[in-house]
Amino acid sequence: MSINTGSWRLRIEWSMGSSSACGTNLPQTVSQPQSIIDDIFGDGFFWAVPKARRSLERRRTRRNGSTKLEHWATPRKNIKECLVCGHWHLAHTICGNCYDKVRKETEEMRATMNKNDRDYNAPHTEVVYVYQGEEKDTELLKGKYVVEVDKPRPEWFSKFLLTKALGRR
Amino acid sequence: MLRIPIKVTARKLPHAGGRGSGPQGRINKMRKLVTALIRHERIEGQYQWVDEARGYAERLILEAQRNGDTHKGTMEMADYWLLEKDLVHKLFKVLVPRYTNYPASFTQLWSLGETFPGRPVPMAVLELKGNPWPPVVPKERDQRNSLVNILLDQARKDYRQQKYESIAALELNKQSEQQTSNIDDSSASTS
Repeated sequence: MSINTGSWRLRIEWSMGSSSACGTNLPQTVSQPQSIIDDIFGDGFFWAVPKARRSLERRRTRRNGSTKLEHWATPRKNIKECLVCGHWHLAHTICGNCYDKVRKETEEMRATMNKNDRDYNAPHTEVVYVYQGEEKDTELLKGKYVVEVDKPRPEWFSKFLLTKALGRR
Repeated sequence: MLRIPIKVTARKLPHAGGRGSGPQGRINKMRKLVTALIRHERIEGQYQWVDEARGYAERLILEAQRNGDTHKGTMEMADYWLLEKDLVHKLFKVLVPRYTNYPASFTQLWSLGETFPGRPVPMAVLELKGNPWPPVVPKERDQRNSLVNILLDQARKDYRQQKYESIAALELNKQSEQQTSNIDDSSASTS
């Protein structure tokens, strides 16, 4: 049952086993006269429900509003070209293609390390990865945890990342 | 003082350890991320999580560097934030020496953007500086010797040369004009 009471449209539900409709459990003697509303609704309680149908225009604006449409319709101007590989990426991000290469290489390097040392007992010194054909017994690597990789070093992965600080030797 | 910009208030992160986990779930997630960062030195994840964990990792390393491993509070902090206890040794024996006299932040955050088509969630890479992995951003190619740049350089030089010559010619003209006017003046005064 629904009824329009001024500003609110209310749906009234009677709880199961409510006695007002049947009148079996009502007290026999009523000291004060009840109001008309109480007479009508009894033990029912109110839910808020939509008062009016949403028009077509409002529904469409809600679902794909003007801001969304604007966002989808305007071309993106923050797309850049990677200077190394030429793939496209967003201006505030790094190049995905270049990073895929790095990720793959990193995983390979990670796989070469001893699993126990890698995952459970982290070495107490710096870890250094030595590729195929590189010197292991240099002074730079003294006292460090050396991991050997069975392949030559990729060209894009330079050996000395701090060349500027070290200078030529 | 941290070396990265952070907000004063903590970021609102929904459902850290599942629904209803609350603030403790959030802290647990942060602990996991910090542990993973110290372990692997480079982790990937959703930008908001990784960015939030960054501050905690920075603070932990900073405290360890300042107070050393004899300080009780710092050791308790390390014990709390590092879920795997072999990493406590790594923190004090590897990372603290690595970052001595280090003016900048200890971590680096790279934005990966969203995968398209796919889930529109911005991802990121968080890494400790000085790690053994290949660099995230490759070196840019040295393009000084490419043909276009050589031609452009030459064109620039030619243009500059022309400019100088024209300026010199103008100056010469001015001087000659002045000389002629001086001669005219002197001749007029004498006559």
